This record gives sequence, structure tokens and C-alpha cells, in this order.
Amino acid sequence: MYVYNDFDEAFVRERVSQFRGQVARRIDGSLTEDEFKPFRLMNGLYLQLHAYMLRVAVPYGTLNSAQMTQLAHLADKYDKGYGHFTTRQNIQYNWPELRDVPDMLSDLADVGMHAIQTSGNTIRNVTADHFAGAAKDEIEDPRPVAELLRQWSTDHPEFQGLPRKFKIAVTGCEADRAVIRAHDIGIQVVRNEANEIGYKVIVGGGLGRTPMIGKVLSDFVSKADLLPYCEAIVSVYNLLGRRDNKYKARIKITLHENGIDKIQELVNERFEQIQPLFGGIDQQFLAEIEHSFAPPAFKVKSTDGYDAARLANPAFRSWTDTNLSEHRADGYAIVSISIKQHGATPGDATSAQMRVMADLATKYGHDELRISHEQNVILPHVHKSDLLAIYTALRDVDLATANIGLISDIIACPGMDYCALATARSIPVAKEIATRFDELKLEHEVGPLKIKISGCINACGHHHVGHIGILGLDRAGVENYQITLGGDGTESTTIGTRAGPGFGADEIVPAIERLVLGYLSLRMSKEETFLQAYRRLGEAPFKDILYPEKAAQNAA
Amino acid sequence: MITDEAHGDIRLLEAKADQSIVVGVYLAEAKKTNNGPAPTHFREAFRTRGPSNYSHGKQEA
Repeated sequence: MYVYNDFDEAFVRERVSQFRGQVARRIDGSLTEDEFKPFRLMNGLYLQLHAYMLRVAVPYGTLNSAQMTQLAHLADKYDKGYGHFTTRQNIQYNWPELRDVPDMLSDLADVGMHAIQTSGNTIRNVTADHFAGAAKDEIEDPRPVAELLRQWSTDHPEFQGLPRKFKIAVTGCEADRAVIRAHDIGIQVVRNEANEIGYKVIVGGGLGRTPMIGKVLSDFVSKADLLPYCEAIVSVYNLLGRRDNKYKARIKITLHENGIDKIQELVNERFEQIQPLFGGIDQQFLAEIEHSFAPPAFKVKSTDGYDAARLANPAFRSWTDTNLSEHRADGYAIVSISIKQHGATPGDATSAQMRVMADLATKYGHDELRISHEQNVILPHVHKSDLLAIYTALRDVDLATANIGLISDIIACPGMDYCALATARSIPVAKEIATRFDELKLEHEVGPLKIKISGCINACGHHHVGHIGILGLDRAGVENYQITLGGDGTESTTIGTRAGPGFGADEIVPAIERLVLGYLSLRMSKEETFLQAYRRLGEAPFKDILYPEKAAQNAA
Repeated sequence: MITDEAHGDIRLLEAKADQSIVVGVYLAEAKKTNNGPAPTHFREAFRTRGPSNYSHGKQEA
């Protein structure tokens, strides 16, 4: 894992010190709220419905045990004993007092963390595949490149006032677990015909009020050219992106209005200008960074005990069936810890739970944890002989829910329970769907199904790419929920189609139940997933299930 | 509860000046009830209580 050097350390400390002064001047009245606002946003401090909210960056979702322990400490000392893991692999604290925030940032700096550029019209936290460095299907660990991009974009003088926020995601393999096609820039590690490693660069994807799938700007950018190429893209966007209308300011609109050919031409032109200026310094940094991401020394050990435990303990077996993914090393597995206990708030972890996860990473996980954009926590490197001990420890703190990728593993934004932008609540809908399907005991029968819920059109809950997406709106002063169907956030990214009129707050869970039970009767076999059945049959039968009265009228 | 638009504007300006007490001030629709003014919109109703997933915020007190 990357560890801060003296430069990083000094930079972050300096920012804490500056912000401490700014907060003091705000509290003593020297700064008005309007004057203070740009300073707090530069440090990830938002104002929400009930309190301030501090969004802490978890670069490319990677944490070590000490950092996770410190997040628990922040939750206890400055918040209400919990934190909320977000769909951009960050963590948010919902109840900080303004006067405590400089201390929070100082405590974060103690473990090499900060909240810089988690807000504002800048390049935000660079996200990555949460299985990076562990996945069996990976060409190369994408995190060194993500770290290089983090260093380059942090406080980059040219990019502190972009037309709008800018999000970059990186993945190391064809299978897309980082939703790269819904980012301003999506980067995929690829090999060319000469078997050299390089990057496919996708640009102009995004969700929000105008969802768009990114377009390939280049099929292959060499390793040495990647950083100047990204700088060229952001530089072109910085000049060309619209500043007259914030709803048309993201690069997806710039791309849509100007066309991929023009953007390509401008980027190539800019790239030719700036590439020589880099002079290879970025490659020296990258080499050092790559060194710090060297894989851990994997153990070679028997997995007989694991196999026996699976046979003996059905609950453990069920958990291993759903919550494990294939690891590149023999005898190892990737553990996804579900932060989606039935009826609990998606992505919320208590300080006690964070400490248990940190301890498990220390004892059994080569000191590494990841936050996924699906709001779960990953132990990326676990030997199978340690899985039973991990499962037992997780079960003791309600973290052993066997539901990864199933109907109750729901992404939900904070919605109107916290967020000032929200038009309806998300959390209660997610909780009720999970509780209902747990009652029905149908979750495993239904199989892989991704439900994603956003509490407003900005789509933090990624509803457009949910197999079933739910969008909460305010319709004439009442919460109303629109369903989209057939979305997909993987390498075959698809924007879901709106099914029809929305449902009231008391109708949405029954509508989802109807839809899912309907799917069970429509599927060809147990192996055909919801998304596959939807793709085979099209939207018509699913709409008939959602709107039975309309279907009856049409039949009459 | 303010029923006169001009008074509302003045009250808003006064509230905006109380920056050591409150931030992000705006006027919200309200109705008269036996327990005093109450919000008409669910967003404002949530703000008078706090989030629905934990008993935090004003409802905690």
C-alpha cells in the first residue's frame, strides 16, 4: 500500500492548519458563512439537513487496519458512533460539530488520510475496482495508476475551478467492478497486440439527470503516456466545458455537444503540446508507487480445515457461497463483508464493527481492507484456512450476512434522511425491501439481483445501472418512487428504462415484490438471472406485472 | 409563523444575520395547528425531527 512521503505529510498537515484558522475565524465571526463556504468545501465539509457532514476520502477504496481503526475513533469521538460508506468508496460522518472538524482532519492526517477534493468542481477521489490486486481476472493492479492520478490531481493548480466536478475510475481487467463507463474518465488496463500493458480510455460517462455511457477516446494509451493524456482531456474540458448552465457542465455534455471526433482532435493536439513537458518524471513516481503496491507474501497452507468446516456448518457454507470471490493466489479468497444486514442502513458501520474489521485485516488479511462502491467492505487477501475464524468474528457483530450480490445487497444514497439535495428518502425503502425478502426467505431463490436506490435525480445511488433502479422524487409534496428496469453497471453497461408512473411510499415495496415474484414465474430456469430474463423478454411482461390494472385494460 | 410576505423577508434577513446561531436559513411553508406552526412539506417535517433510520437530531433531545 502507498504510504505518505514527507511531501504528502507536510501538505496534508499544512491544509489542516489552514483550515483550523479558517474555522476559528468563522466561529469568532470574522468570516461569514458565504465567505467560509468555499474553504469548508475544499476540505470535504458539507452542510446537510440536520448538521454538517464530513466526507473523508478513501483513495481507490483502499485502507489499512490503522486507518480503519482511526475511522472508528472519529466515529466515537466526534460523531454518533458510526460512519456511512458511500458509493464513491468514501466515508461520511453525519454529525460533526464545526469546532471539532480541524481535530478530525488532524486525526486523519495521523494515519495518512484527508478530506481534500471530496467536494467542489475539482477532480474527486479516484475510485478503483475494490478487488484490485487480488482478482484472478486482473491484468495488472490498477491502484498504482490511481495513486499517480491522485497525486497529480491533488491541488493541481490548473484544475481547482473546473466547469463541474470530475470523477475518474480505474479497473485492471475486462470485468468492470468500478462502473468505469459511468465516469468522466474511465480507465481500463489492457494489453495490445504486442502484449504490452496500456490503457483503454473512456470518456464522458455519467449518471445524474442526463445519464450517458462513456465513449472510447483511445483503445490503447501506453503506460508512459497515460498521465499527459489524462491531463490533456481535463485541460480540453476545462476550456470547452460549459460554465453557463451547471446542468450542462459535465464532460458528458461537452462530449455530446461537440462529438467524439472533435474532442479526440483537441485532446490529441493538447497531448502533443504537453507530453514532452512531463519529461518522464511521472514514470519515476509511478515506479516508486508500483513498488509500494507489491503483493503481500501469500501463505502456502492446506485448506482441508476450510472444506471440512463448510461441510459441517450450513450457515458458514451459505456465507462462503455468496460472500467469497476468486483470488489470484492458490488457497486464497476475497471476502466481501456485507454492510447490508437485513433492515439496517446500507453502508452504515458502527465503530465496534469497524474495529472488528480492522482487527481481522491485521490478523488474517495482510493488513488490507477495501471499501466497495456497492457500500460493502472487502478483505482482499484471506487464506481459506482463516475463513471460519473470520466468519465467526463477523457474526458476533452482525457482519456475517450472506447476501452479497443478492436482492438485499442494495445500494442506497443517504436520501432525504440526511441530504439537502434529496427529493425523497432512500434508506427506509432499502431497509423495507431487505426486510421483506428476508421474511419471504426468497433471497437465495431469486439469485443475483442488483437494486439501486437514489433519493434524487443526481443518482448517487446509481439507480440508472441497477437491474432494478428506484428513483425517489417529490410529486406534488408527496414522496414518489420511479422504477427503472434493465440497468447494468458492469462491462456491458446499460442505462435502465423507466417502467412507467411512479409509486407512492406505501406502494413501492409491494411493487418490487410483485416484480420479483413475477420474474420467478417468467424465468426459464433457476440459472436465468433477473437481468438475463429481462433482456430475453423485453420490458413488456415486467411492465404488465408492475401495472396489473393497465395490463388488464389492454387485454380487455 | 409569518403571514405577511414583507415581514417574512425582514425576518429572513434578521435570521441570516444571526450567523453564530444558524446557517443556511430560508423561509418554509407552514400551517397553523393546535401545537403551533407545523411544516406543510415532508422535507421540513423531517427537519423538525431528524433522520428516520436512527433517533438522532432534534427527536433525540
